[in-house]
Amino acid sequence: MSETKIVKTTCSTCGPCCEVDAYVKDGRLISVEGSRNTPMQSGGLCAKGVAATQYVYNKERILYPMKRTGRKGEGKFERISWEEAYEMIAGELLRIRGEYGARSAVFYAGYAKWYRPALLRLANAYGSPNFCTESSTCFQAAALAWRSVYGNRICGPDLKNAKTLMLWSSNLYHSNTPMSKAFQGFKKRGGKVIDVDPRRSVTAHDADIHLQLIPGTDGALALSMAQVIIEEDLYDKEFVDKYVYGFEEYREYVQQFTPEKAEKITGVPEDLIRKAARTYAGNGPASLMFSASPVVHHINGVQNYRAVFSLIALTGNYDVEGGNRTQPGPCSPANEFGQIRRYDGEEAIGQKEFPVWFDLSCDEAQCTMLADYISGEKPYPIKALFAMGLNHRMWPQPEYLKKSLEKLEFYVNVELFMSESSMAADLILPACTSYERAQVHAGMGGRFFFSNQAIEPVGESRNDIEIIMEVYRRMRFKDPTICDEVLGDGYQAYMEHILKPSGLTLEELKSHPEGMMGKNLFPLAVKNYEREKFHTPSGKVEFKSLVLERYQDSHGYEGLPVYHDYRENEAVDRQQFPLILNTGSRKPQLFHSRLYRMSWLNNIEAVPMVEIHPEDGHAYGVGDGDFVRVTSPSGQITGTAVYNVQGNPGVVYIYHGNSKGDANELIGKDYVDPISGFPGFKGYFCRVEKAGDTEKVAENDAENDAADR
Amino acid sequence: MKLRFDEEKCIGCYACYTACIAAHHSPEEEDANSRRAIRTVVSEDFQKNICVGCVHCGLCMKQCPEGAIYREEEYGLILVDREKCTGCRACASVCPKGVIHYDADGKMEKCDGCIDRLREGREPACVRVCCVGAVERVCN
Repeated sequence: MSETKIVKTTCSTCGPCCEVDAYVKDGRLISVEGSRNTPMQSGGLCAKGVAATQYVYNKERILYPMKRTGRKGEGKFERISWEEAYEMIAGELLRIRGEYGARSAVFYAGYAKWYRPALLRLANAYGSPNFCTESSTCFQAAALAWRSVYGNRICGPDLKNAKTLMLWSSNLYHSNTPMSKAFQGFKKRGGKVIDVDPRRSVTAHDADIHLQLIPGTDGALALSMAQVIIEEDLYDKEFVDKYVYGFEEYREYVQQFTPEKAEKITGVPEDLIRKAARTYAGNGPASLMFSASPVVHHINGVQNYRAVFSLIALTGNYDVEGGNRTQPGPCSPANEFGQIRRYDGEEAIGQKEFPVWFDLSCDEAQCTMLADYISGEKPYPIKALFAMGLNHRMWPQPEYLKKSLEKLEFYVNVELFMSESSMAADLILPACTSYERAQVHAGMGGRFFFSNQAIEPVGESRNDIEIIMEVYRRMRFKDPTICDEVLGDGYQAYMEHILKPSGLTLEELKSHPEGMMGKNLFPLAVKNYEREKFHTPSGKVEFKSLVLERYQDSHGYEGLPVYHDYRENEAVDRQQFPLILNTGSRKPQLFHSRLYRMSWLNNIEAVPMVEIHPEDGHAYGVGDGDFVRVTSPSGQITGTAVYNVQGNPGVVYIYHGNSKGDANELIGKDYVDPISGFPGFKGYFCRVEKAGDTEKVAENDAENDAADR
Repeated sequence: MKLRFDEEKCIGCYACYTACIAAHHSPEEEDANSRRAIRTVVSEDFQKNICVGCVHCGLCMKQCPEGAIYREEEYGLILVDREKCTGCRACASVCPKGVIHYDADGKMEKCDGCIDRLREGREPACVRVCCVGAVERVCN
């Protein structure tokens, strides 16, 4: 009997990439535990991560390169060799480049995220401006809102020195479970927590002040807090006078949002708005913890987050100890992530509709409307899609996108699992999980970590970046004008390249399984604005955005963080759709679509689950556990109603991405924030009715059909 | 050894529930049960799903007419002898936590305190995975 070995590696089932100890026996992963040698983690793990064996050895893993044999979308594939697959990709991509131009190929990074810089390099070398990612509907709108105010990357909270922490729509106990201990440590030190969340989540339940707002009214709440802070003279006059652009107009605008009025809009009691404003402004230093998507999954999302972010500068909590800092801890330079510029020599997809996305560049094109671009051949024909981990259920009305993908001349998806999104592909390539490859992590706090390969790749699966490099090499061989300085040197050299600016070598990092601090650390600094202007057009913090104002006439954008209420949408008959629909709020056991295939996680709760307040249940004749039909102006799904009192009456919550009933089908494809292109996933309208038995039969039939396929 | 579960500390993340399945089953066992049980606790404006587990109190052992449930000597854990169990379900009727399960053959299935892990010097899976210390090991 061979011994069990413990390998220091990483879980990459969701975003934070927690470090784990993998237990490996006879070459097989048998168990994982959260590592205890890392400063940011509690040592535990979440439900998703601890189920790793069912992830790695899932029966839907793709084992070999597969080529389409049936018609597009039919789902018939046959095994081919990697050699054949690579030759086909290089040949087809170059053919399409020759026939339609490089821009007609889209390079898309879905899940996972780690290979993004390498894929961007490939798109650049090929000459396409259309490098896109899953961030077209996640996070980047929050980053855009921040950049429009401060001109830099989002500044994180300085939890160590803060006295007050304002969590704005982050249920971190469920979205980043291993961070729980750091959060509880802050509370134990006596830190005050203000939590803004439409639901009384476990995190909200633990807060000192919970502002339970109606989804999507974040902007009105933040503007009202500003009104109190200014009226009560709690704002930082010196900072505002010296470093803020547009304060006078902002001050005038916020007068419309007295707490009395804001209570009517947001549902938050006026006294609580005042109390929160006084605590945030008065019990400083105060940090604001942002979240990736809840605020920006609304059609006024960017402006709402601009209003929230403005509170930091208003109260003088920008780049000070205990506030939101350009560098909340030690930091060491590293290559690749965030360092590669997208080729922008010609118009990218999304550029006409969402120009600010490009002016405040995140080095990605905006592909929320990808299906329209493919189907309508506008702004120009899109003919090829080289995708990694593309999941059509990240988009609103996903079926529409799935159909559009069938129209492409050439579509490759590199995936872990035989996903629905791959059915329209011409070629599916098997990627491996983080347990099956080595990786250099440039982590928070200047710390680097070498994630070891714990097991051999399952089947013939390969490391994403090695796949990208091989595609590059094959194309370059056929066309030497395709050139990148890093992709040709192999994966070992790539890891060295990431580390280089830190002063560490790959060898020494490998010999320190607990991780290492970079040798070259940026000196810790606060108040960088005293030495360097803000990277905005005015050189100041822009309460009134000059970038947004550029598009006042053409796109109707406004410079101030204005509040427009989505409920004033006259196109929707609220008699027909009386409930607010909020989709995709985090569940601790799920992550978008990909974990439904893990029975240990999928069996925990009913899916799809329609969470409804008992009062609404009684009003609409829906009982706890009933099979229901949810109808929005854009679509219809069925699911199981479950009573939940965490949210207020009037709002229905559904997690997305399930093939048995995808909440994203209920969101109209054009129901987007005009600034960011982000869908209004968390603020739309619906009705819920008890469904008849015939619908249940129909659903079962559909399921059986799917099983037969 | 006993296990303690603090309902107040629990953040309802299902990690212990899932860790229990992963510790006792191979990934191919799709319908495997956790030996913990999900309960919804509801107050006026708040609710959470907590995952309750066996505390090794021994009440089921006293109730079993077949003598199938016993306290093992090494750690003092309450275990079941599957062969002796007749599936009469007397144990479930007295379990204060409601965490006695039955497998496909109707045989009693309960928390074994991760005795195999303990022998390897590891902690029970539920204890090891919990990020907030809601599940703890208590030595007698």
